[in-house]
Amino acid sequence: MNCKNFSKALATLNQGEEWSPAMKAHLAVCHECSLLARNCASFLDAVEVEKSFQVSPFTATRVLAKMEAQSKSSFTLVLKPSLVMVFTIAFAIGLSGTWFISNTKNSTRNSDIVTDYFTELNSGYFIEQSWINIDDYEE
Amino acid sequence: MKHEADDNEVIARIIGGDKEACTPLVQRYQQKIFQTCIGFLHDEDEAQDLTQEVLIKICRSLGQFKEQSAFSTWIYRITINMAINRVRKLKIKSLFKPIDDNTKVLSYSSAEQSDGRLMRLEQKQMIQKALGKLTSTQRKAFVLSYYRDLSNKEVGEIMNLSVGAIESLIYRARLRLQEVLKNN
Ligand SMILES: [Zn+2]
Repeated sequence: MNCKNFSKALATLNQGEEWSPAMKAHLAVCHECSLLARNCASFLDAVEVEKSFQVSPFTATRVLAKMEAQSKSSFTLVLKPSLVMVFTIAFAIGLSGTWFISNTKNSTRNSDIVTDYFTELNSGYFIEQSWINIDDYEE
Repeated sequence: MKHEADDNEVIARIIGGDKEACTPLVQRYQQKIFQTCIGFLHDEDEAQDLTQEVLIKICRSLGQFKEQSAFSTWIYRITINMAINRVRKLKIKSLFKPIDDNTKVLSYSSAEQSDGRLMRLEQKQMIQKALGKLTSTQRKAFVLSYYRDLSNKEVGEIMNLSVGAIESLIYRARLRLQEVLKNN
């Protein structure tokens, strides 16, 4: 067996499986391959160590808590913008409503005054009277 | 078979809105997911964190499970995808935080001077370096086979490959690992 064949045989060797006599014979004479075999064994041992790590016993509790928190925050995330939107729309409606009402009332009042002043009998009389006869004097 | 039947019952309960039904599902798969995660991340804390994320993702996307494969196959696929994404994120993160990494190594060697810790750090670095040289598919096959002890048939189902293809992938992975370990 040469180094290349040893390498191939090593790659197909399952964990815990015995070395073949040919592999053993090569290992006895080849320092490089015996070093490689040792490194491979310690690599697989290290994998075994990592494999033996245990998941936290609190995983289930944490998962449920995170899911609860996420569903709450996603609810808030949806709720907050929609609330802002509702309040903005309500404010805009309120503002335009006020403008509309005040405009409508003003125009009615102005036209009433003009009509009263120029077209009624004794036109403007009562208005002028109310302007002239002011009872409040500054002392 | 009983496991699959139990899974189906739990899945139906969760889809029906019973969040508490996640608990048996989590308990059944948490260690399997964790071992897969550690096979990619080689860091306990990161693996614990990712395990939780995977479990949340699974519980939330159960409606997407079409029963075209075994439930465990579906779980492993999600785990592998999320683990690969996490590895990528950590790599990018490490590019921007080289000083932190050095501090981490230093704190290991100075504050926790136990031989066990140092050995573990060396092992971790060796595994990371070696598995880092594998192609993505070789690495997936290796992790499922060596960290989860799954048969080539099971690995093949998860990776949508034939048993022969998995055998070949693992063989090539081990040859590649030898090349890395030869110069270690
Ligand atoms: Zn040799």
